[in-house]
Amino acid sequence: MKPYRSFSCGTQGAKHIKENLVCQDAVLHFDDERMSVAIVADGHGSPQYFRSDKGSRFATEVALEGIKGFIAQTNPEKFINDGGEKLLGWLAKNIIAAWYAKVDDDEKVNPFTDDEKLNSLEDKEKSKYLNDPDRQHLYRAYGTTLIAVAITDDYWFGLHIGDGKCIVLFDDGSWGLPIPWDDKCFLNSTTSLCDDDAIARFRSWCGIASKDKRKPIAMFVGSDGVDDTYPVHENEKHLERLYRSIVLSFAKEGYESTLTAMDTLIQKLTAQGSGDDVSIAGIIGDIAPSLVAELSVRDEADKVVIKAMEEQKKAVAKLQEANNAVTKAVEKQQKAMTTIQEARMDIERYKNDQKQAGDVLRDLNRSIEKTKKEQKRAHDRLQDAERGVSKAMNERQKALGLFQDANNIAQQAEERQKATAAKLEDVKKGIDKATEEQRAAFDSLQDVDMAVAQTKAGQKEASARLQEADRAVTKAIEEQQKVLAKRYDGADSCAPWKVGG
Amino acid sequence: MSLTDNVAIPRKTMVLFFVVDTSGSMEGSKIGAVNSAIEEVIPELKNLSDANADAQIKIAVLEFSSGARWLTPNGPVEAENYVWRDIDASGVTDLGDACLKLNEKLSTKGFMQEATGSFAPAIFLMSDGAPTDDYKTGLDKLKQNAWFKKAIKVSVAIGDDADSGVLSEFTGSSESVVTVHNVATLKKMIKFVSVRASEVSSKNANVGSTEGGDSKQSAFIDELNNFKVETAASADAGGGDEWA
Repeated sequence: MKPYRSFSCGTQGAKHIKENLVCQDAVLHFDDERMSVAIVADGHGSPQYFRSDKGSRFATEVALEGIKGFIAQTNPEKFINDGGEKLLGWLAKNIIAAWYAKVDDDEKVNPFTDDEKLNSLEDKEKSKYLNDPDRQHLYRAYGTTLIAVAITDDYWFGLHIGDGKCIVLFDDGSWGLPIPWDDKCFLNSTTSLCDDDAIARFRSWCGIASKDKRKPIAMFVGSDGVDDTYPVHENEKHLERLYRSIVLSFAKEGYESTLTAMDTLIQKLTAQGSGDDVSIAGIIGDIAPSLVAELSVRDEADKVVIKAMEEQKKAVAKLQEANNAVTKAVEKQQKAMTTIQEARMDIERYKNDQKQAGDVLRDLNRSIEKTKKEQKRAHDRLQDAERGVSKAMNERQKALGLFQDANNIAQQAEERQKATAAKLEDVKKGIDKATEEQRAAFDSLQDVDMAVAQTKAGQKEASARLQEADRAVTKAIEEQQKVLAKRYDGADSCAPWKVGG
Repeated sequence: MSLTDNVAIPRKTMVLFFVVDTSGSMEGSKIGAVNSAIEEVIPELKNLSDANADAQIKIAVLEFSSGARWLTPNGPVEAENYVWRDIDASGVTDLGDACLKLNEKLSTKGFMQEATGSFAPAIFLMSDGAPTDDYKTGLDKLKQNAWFKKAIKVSVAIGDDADSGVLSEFTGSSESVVTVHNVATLKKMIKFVSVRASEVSSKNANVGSTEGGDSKQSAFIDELNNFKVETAASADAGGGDEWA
């Protein structure tokens, strides 16, 4: 097995050192006359995997023992005839079983204690580890990934569970990630030897020297501390560049110098890269000078491309910066233009406002003039009204005088009425007196008549008296006539009185 | 040149995705607060990126209203080179289209070309309403995306009209949804989530874990819960007008 030689190196992660966490990676490599083997295991980092440093070490140990036994006991013809895949399935099962047995043994000797990271777990979680009849959590505490590659004169193979990557350089100068990827491994999630379905999650790859057109010339297995140093996008290309540098170093600087250089390199990878534990193991063959030359050319070309890309990035950043400056300047210009525009609009608005204010002022002046005229008219009307009131007051005064006169006249008339009524009373009394005198006259007349009768009866006797009687009659008549004449005069004095005449 | 000198190691990248609802209901103080908060937080992300030995922080922005559009169509931009331009709000809430567009770019052929294994992206969704399109189809597809599964996901529900149920579906848990009711709290939350999600996501403290993405999400939720408690005491005091 002269053409191949294995190697391995690993370091505690930069973050693990800061946080006082042990290195949870383990690496192993092995060479003998029949085989070269390289193995990396990466114990999980979360608190519940608190013995994963042991788990990864156990994984590399059982894997190496398993592979050695597998190669020793497997007839190359059988591997070739059976295609290898089925046999690798058995190998994976044996590795898992051996790992479980080793974990069991360790736990028996070193039961879980509170001094371990169990203390960092919540009580509920902690009890799962301390009361674990089906031992599920026992294996979980030791959880780890595993990648192993091996090569013999007749065949080669790789086994893989979990993350990390196996990158292979073939003798035709091509690179590959030959072990199929498991999509359950993404970012910091990974499958594990402690999974219930670990057998199903194992992936494998193999090749046969007598059948395959190309043969591995270098095989690398690395923990995810290596992968995570580079972007997920085209991760294999970044890893190819890294491993190409190592291959060239082996070819140009030799085995020992390269191993020494790799110890420094992995320190850089964890410090400037992932911060995680970084482990690389591999198998390197004799590389033809032509391939070394080809790899060197690619390496130089890559450096040129990388340098150009870095320059491009810087230029893009500067361009971006310039664009930002231009954008800011344009924004400032736009703001200034907007301010000017707004100022212009303000001026226009003020002019309009001024014009409108002038119009309003004119209207107000007109209105004041009009109001003054109306005020004057109202004043004149007030004066007219005052004069009217004065005249009315005079008229009223006159009317009051007239009313007083009328009252006086009425009073005088009333007095005259009263005087007339008194006179009328007097006349009535005169009439009554005359009536009584008339009655007395009639009585006298009757007395006369009786005297006449008496006279006539004694006419003869008193012929002499007749004469006297005649004279008495004549006198009586004259008296009568005087009374009558007086009566008629009284009647005339009783004519009605005219009031107000 | 020695082997070590011969090997170049690229700087790691962590992408912070802003997924911003720019529908009509965001118009006014909401989109104003989003604009000013992101603009103010970018210098902080730049400082974080400069000081962070683990990873450089890059920013990708997806806005959605009537359809979804990338504001960084050429890929994530370094925090130091990113200039935030104010976005306007109008239209409906097509979250489903945003999920499809995000799914398309959450791949190594899309915006994850420079992402490394230790650095899952951080995805920050902000919305004030309920989806108006068939969001289920888009979200179901997005949930199958391996990068999305591993991302730190957090949502801010702006006001009570935001559909917290949908936002919880997006992030995977109600604990990673924060409801805010005023400008001051929204701005505080945007700054906290942007910076802390970037910090947590860009630290590879859990290297080697079998479930690193989930543990980062859990770690971030723990921080978020603490911040919610701190903010609850002071958020409503002097927070300005309340959103319904």
